Amino acid sequence: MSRLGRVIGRAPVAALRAEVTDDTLIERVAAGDLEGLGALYDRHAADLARVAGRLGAGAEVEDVVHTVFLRVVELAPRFELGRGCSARAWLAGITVRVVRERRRSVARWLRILGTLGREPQSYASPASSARADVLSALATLTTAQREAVVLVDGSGLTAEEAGEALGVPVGTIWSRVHHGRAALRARLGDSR
Amino acid sequence: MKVNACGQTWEIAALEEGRLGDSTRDRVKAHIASCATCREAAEGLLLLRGEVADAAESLDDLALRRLRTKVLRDADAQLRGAAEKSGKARRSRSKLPLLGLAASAAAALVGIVALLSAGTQVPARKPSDAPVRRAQAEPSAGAVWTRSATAGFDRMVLLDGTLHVRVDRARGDAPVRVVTPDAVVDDVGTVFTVEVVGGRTRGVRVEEGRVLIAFDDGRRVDLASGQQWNAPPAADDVVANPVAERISADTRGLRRALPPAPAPRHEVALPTSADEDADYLVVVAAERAGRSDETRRAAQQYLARHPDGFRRPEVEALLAEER
Repeated sequence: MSRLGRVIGRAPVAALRAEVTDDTLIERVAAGDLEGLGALYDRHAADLARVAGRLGAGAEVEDVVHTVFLRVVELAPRFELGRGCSARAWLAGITVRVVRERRRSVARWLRILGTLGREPQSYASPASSARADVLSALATLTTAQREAVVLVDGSGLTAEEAGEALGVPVGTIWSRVHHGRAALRARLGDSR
Repeated sequence: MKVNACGQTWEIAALEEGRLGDSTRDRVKAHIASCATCREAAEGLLLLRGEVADAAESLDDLALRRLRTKVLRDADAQLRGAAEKSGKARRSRSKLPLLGLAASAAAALVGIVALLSAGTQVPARKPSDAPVRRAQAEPSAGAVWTRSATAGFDRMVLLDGTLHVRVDRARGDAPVRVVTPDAVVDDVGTVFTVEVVGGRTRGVRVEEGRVLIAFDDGRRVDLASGQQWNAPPAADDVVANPVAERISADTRGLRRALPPAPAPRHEVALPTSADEDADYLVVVAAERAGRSDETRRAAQQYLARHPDGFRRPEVEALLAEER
């Protein structure tokens, strides 16, 4: 990259980014603008890493976030700008799908290892803190319940946004969250 | 496991999820305040949500910064790979026996004629893998700007001052994109000037050809040769863009009769492509609704009506998918 003008600092760029909406950033990504992708990353990467962690990605959180943002480049031209789906829900939905794909892939390898007589391990690495109980409890939920609980209770998405992210009706989200919470309470109650 | 003694405990989750109407909501809130069982259940729900939220830490700052670099590097490679793939596909199609050399020569001739007719050439929106040939860019004294070749674009970020750009597509210059604090200015085979003052785009003047300005607030301005856009004088006096409003309205109810656009409060030249935007939105809405036939018809109509359309590459790609 050659710089013909004066070198610009980070502060003004960061300041101007604050004014841009997520929708606009995704539109810029769709047009091949990597600065738009960088700004989108700065806003959401940390949160998406938490979502991946709650979903049980464990030590693979970094890889999941990496894949999510490359998927954003691929899917940005199809993002429905300003209509219906919020950017936050859209990104959370991509994260859920990436974690699912990796989980399936890991499960395949674990099955192979199992046939070789090895001890299968959990997809999630064991947490070393008080969070371990909650992560273990989340891991016992069905995938559908876990995704709904993580998005609604963990990330604060509304049931409507979680429905958009997961591609299911809002009523289904309510039901999954209800049963997921009940199972979590039972599990956490037993373990304490 | 504790058995709830109150029959209304289930309403706590309904309240929290916004499933209750106004009157029921008030009644449930009053009940929670007076019922120890429900209060305990509400607190339990809050606690559970907190525990789920805290169940996982994010990556630390260093890991996030390292990952950011990796994401941008790999995304750049991904875009270049996609451009190369599409270039190969185009080259492959041009080798079809029925078309042959004559078709290629004819296409090249048409391309040259189109390039020479300034102001009408369709922008090369898709990133190209070819080495970027740079346009002439003349910054004003003290201009704050940078320049890079990104995904096939000759990309300039202008934070302050004036930038005069001369793009010669016939010579093979790459498409130019000027990014300002509040807009993106794309050229279409052009000589143009962009001015930024105080963190805002002050003006864009087109001497030859055409440019398209996309503001961060959703406004779109299409400037042809000899035209100029100037920012309104003060931030609190910004003109509501009738085009953006029409586009937004068209999104909600496609092809719905639109009210006449309000007259701008300032005499600002805003030549627009509202019809093109409206036609494009019809295509997108049909595609989103999963109506393939309608999508195809709308896409064909768009392509027929807007041979130089800003969204043409996108609509062509969409039409190809629907076939």
